[in-house]
Amino acid sequence: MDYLHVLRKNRLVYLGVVLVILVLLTAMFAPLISPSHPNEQDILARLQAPTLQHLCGTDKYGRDVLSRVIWGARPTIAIALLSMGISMMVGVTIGVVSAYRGGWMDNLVVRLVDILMSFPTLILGALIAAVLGTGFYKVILAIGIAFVPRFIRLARAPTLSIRETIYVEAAKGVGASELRVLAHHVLPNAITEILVVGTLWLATAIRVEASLSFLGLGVQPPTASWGNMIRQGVDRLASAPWLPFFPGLAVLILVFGINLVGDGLRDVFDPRVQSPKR
Amino acid sequence: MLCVATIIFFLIRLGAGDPAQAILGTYASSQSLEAFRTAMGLDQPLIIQYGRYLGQLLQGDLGSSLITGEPVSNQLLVVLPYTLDLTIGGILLGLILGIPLGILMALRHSTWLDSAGRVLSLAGISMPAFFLGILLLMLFAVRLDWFPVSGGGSLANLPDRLYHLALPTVTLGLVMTAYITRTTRASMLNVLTEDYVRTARAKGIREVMVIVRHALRNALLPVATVCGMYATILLAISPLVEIVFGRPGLGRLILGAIKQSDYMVLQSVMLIYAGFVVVINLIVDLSYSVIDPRIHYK
Repeated sequence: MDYLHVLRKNRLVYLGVVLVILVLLTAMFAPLISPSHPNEQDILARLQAPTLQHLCGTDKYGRDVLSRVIWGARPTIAIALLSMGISMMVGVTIGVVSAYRGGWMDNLVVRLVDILMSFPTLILGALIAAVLGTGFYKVILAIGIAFVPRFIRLARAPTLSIRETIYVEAAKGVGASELRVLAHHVLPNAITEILVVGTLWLATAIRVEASLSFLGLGVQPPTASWGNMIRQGVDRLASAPWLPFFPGLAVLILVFGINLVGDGLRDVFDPRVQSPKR
Repeated sequence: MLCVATIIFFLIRLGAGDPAQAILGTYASSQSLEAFRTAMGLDQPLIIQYGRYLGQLLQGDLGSSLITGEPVSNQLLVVLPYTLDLTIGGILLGLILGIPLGILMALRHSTWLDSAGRVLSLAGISMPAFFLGILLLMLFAVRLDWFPVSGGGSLANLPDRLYHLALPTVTLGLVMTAYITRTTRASMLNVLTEDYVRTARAKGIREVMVIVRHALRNALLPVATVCGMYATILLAISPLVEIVFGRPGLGRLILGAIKQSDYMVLQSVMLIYAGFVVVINLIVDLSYSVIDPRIHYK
């Protein structure tokens, strides 16, 4: 199947890519495009509605909301990427090794994963964040740990089928060590599926980060993050609705963009969800 | 559930802060901190605390809050109806709206209606529930003044309870609708190309009957599976919605427990969540035999 052809046919994927790139560029060039420093206060201009001077208004300290939304993209994206990186490394390693070896250790891992996955990721993340405490690095760890069971399960499935293939048997037959078989034969053949699904989970990680910050368990003020900006804005919903609106819109744009791309990728890799012949 | 209780117990004990310090404050004397730990049994070795906790749990005793001293079960009984109202309402609304919309999109496949539905449902699952709640609150409570801005209403007064429940339920319901619509659409698209649907049409059965009796019945099985999964997601995001709408519920209880290092409340609420997940999975399993008579449980 021509994967690129399937992707090209889905115009919404283009929209998704544009949205994601737009947000990534905004985060990268925040110091250049931000109208002011995110923590710069102007008490005389506090709680101003959106104007030409402050396109997204100002908060209770007179800080420019647009600048804070632009800078807020940085911790959100960094936390999502780093936590996914950690959970992918840990989860895939455990999942691949456990499925390849099998036996009592695999059984134990499967049971543990089943138990941990009985908690929704947000609840598990909140529990771990409560245990670890708040702050940038602790949230990365909390979300990272919360996603580990998902990656273990994700990595197990392809490993179980790959370990039965002839080329793995052949590698073992010529005396390749277990590490070599895993690194050179199992992982390279399982990694595409893991990477695609892992990319889709970025959207979930961003939502979980925003939710934890919203609950006060994530990035702490005065550092701008979309979740904590929404939380601060909820208290002034009636008098300053722009405070939660713009950071919320930013979360929506980024997650929507990733999901659009994800939908396109799913069409490519899962033929069952493609258009039926009628 | 025993494994869940064990994991939660040790996870919370090994990592969370000192509850004595959190409750008595930074300036508490070392004597008063020690006295508090002794009174609450926190000075005991962890394994003794664990044994005592399991013993209590087996007798249906969830322990007492470290902050108020009130039995945790009492606190849960007060807030649980609010969370259950909200979650069940959200699930029902999601099913009522999501299944017909999904069918409609599948029947109008590759038309503007299908495309618009796909984009909207994707936007629905991309939008954080608390942001959707804020938008609804801004429009219907703050601007139009149709619904209350906060509170859960009186449990004894049904109209008041429903009045306070409306906006939060719509918030969760719309999120659930987005998930259910996508799943129903995909499942219907698969089923509509099956031979038995073609045969039913060839026999001249009315289209409505073909859709409802032959296609939908078979398409509902995967919908029921994912419905259980999404119901647990809904349960997880309900605390966020409760906070936006200022409703009492498990969300506010859990947040208070985290901030005050109240182990007992925290581990009990987590256990309740795990219990809900088990119940939801059981309901989904039982629903299989209703949807598909070929499935029997012995």
